[in-house]
Amino acid sequence: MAHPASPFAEFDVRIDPWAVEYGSETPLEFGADDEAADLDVSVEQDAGAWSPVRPAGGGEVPDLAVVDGVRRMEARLVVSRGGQTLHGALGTYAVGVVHCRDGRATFGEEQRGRLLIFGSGYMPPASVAVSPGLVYDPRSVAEDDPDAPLRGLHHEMRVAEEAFARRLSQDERLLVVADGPLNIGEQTPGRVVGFVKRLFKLYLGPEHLPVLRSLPCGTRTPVFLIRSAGRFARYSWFVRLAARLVVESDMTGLVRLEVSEAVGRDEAIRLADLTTLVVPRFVPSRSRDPRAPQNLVPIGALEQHLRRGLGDARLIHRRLASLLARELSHV
Amino acid sequence: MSDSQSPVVGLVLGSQDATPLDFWVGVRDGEHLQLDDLVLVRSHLSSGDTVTFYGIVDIVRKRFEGSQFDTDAFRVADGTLPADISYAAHVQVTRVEPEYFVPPTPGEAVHVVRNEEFRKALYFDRMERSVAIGLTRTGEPVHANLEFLDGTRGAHASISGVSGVATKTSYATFILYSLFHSNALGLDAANAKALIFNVKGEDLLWLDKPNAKLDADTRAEYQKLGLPAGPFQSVAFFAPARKGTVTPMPDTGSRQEGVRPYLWTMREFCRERLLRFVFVDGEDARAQIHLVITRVEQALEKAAREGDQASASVTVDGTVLTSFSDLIDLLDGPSLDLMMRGAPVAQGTQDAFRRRLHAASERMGHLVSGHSEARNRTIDWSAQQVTVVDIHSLHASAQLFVVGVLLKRMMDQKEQQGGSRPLVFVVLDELNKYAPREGWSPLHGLLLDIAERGRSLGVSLFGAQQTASEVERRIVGNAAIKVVGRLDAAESERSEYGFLTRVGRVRATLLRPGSMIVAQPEIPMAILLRFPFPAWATRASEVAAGAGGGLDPFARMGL
Repeated sequence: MAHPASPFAEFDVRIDPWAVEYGSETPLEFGADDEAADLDVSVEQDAGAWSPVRPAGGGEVPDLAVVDGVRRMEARLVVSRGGQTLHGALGTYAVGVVHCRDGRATFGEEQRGRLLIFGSGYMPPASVAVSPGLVYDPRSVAEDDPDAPLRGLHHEMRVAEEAFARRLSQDERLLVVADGPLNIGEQTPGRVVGFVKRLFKLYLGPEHLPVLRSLPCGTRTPVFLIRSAGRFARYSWFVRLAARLVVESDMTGLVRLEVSEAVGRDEAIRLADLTTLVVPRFVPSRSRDPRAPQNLVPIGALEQHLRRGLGDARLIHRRLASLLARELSHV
Repeated sequence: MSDSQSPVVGLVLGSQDATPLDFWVGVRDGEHLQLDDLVLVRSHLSSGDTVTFYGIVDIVRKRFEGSQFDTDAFRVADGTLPADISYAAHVQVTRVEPEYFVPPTPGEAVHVVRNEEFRKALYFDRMERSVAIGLTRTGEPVHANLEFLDGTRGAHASISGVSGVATKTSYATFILYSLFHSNALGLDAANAKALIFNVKGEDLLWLDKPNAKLDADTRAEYQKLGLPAGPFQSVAFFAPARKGTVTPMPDTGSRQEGVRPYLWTMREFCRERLLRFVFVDGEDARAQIHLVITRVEQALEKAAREGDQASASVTVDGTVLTSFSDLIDLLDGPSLDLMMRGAPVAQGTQDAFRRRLHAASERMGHLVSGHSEARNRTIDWSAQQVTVVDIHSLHASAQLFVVGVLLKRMMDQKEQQGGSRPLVFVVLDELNKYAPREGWSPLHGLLLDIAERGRSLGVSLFGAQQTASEVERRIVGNAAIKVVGRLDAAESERSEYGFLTRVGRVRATLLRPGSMIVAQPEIPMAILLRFPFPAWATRASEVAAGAGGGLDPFARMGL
């Protein structure tokens, strides 16, 4: 039995000695892409005659708000309770925004969550202060596999990102670029565009892939519509952000953007043109960011900024170890 | 902790080491710190004690935060990259009160220092007697401890800087003004004297006239320093007698009125053994020629003690000496051989003596005369508070003659009086000429004597030079107050300026006229300060109307 004053009550919590980086190889964009989707590729151009679209420039550029989040697992936990073993995690996420307006990019508000997550449907009994000011709130996930708590952390971050984007989209002057697949389906005063930089699923059929593969730099594919059972319908398009090197795959430098169907076809095409013109401005050089060109400059800077706010991982890990050591010495 | 007097400008940084002697400050958004700002940090110890760190900002920098690329500046300017800007200042600690040498804690508030705290930061509160020596760039008065100028604990100032922009003499003059026109000297003020050698131009010939170009701002600066804004109250001017005239007239261009010509009578020259100061050209101090000089001096002194003491001329071996050429003629003849009788000196050495005497006579012969007009024309530096001796029109060897004679006589007089009062301040520019580090000068020993014993005799030397590295090490080393104006970049790297920090050396190469860096013994860091525009005229065009004199074309006839 643990000490009566233990913040973990009846749970016996130990640290999994393996460093958190040595987790499973599960892709982290959990559930980012729909399994089965129904496409309408003739939204903008005739399905049989697809060709790249190079939008005409010169329009007014709206104020941009780029939303992104980072998360970090601070410790894998092995939790025992009455002979049963379950997986847990101590993790932190942060969500923030970069505003690009009046020729200036600035960090906007940000939000951080520190979570103690147990798997197998168990909820930690209370918030845990690892040290003063470093408080982790309890969460639970139903699954019992070792990566379930990490997915739980990721989910919390996505929820926070969505809330952020939703709040920003109340401003009709803003074009909100949310990192990752879109999760706001309804009509909002401002526009929210999902920016998918890792293409796990291409959606397009074999007849349209040649257009995608040969898409010139600074152009986009015609807009197409994705309908799927799990999520709301979205207009989507691919943009080639930068030319590829000879040694690289012809899918290099492609990103997919999407907006809710609720914005309407014409607005979707307008946004497709606008983003094709605007987004390449934010492409980092390869020397600056190994994830160039997809990891846009504000996104990269925001992630770096948010990570700094998470605090020193080794310090937190050590404090957690001290806390557990204190608990165990009372047993 | 908030402080109603001094606002918080930032916090002690924790990303760089904070030590009891220096630390970095993160400057708060909307605030700013600049070089030379004085700051303080109150650090609270677990024992309950509070330690106050006073310091001065010597580096300020801004940069994008985090690991960044040079090209990020363009991305930020394009509006694509958001970046935090880190604005940090490095603080060199000047004082820790009480003396617990613990480091300040990162995150502690940093205040700008004002008023009383400012005085503490620079130890002015500990100076029992001080003299204003300038203003910080933010306009706070800076003081020097008088005990390091008047001989109590130290004496002498060494002022270095490139000529033209370093305003060395102007600064020395300003310090004298501050000494004589404030209460700094106290009881010593009544008898304290200053002797200024004017080696360049004639801008010191107007010290007694108010400056017409003085504006209200400058007057306010003088007021801040506790000084009246006006000319020197008690000044005497001396200029060498013009060549080729029997009636002595001052050899100056811009001003004759009130300037007294100076020269020595032949009797004074002989009696006071001034011949040695004529031989200034020789780089070598070969004992042989000095033996000749000494012998001749002896003979001349003996002659000067005979005859009518009121007469300007001297009779040697039946020859009346009324001019320097008379003396040369005398020594060209058998008189010299007579004087040297029994001395083991080669004929060649005597010839060398004659050769040099001839050369010197061209340059300084007119400063010695046996005519009755020449009487009472020597420089009396004790009649007025400040005595300006113009030597700028003289040849270098004549300059050495004048400076040597005056300083020698002054030291003799001080020695006879004994004691360290009354005080005499001597301002001498181009000290490297008079006391070079390498090579020989007849004044070398004399100036070294002043540097080493002047303190106890009440003589404070304000030596100025372009490069301290070319002046006798012990003279520079004995100066309690070290001042630099604009320095040449190579010069600033030399060890003579060890009191400057790395940054201080760079700054010394950028100083503008009117700004000086001053190091004094009690303050562990050299302070950059500026001194106000002179309240006295430095040229005829600056003389305030109605100040009288200076422009009267007939004035010279009166004397």
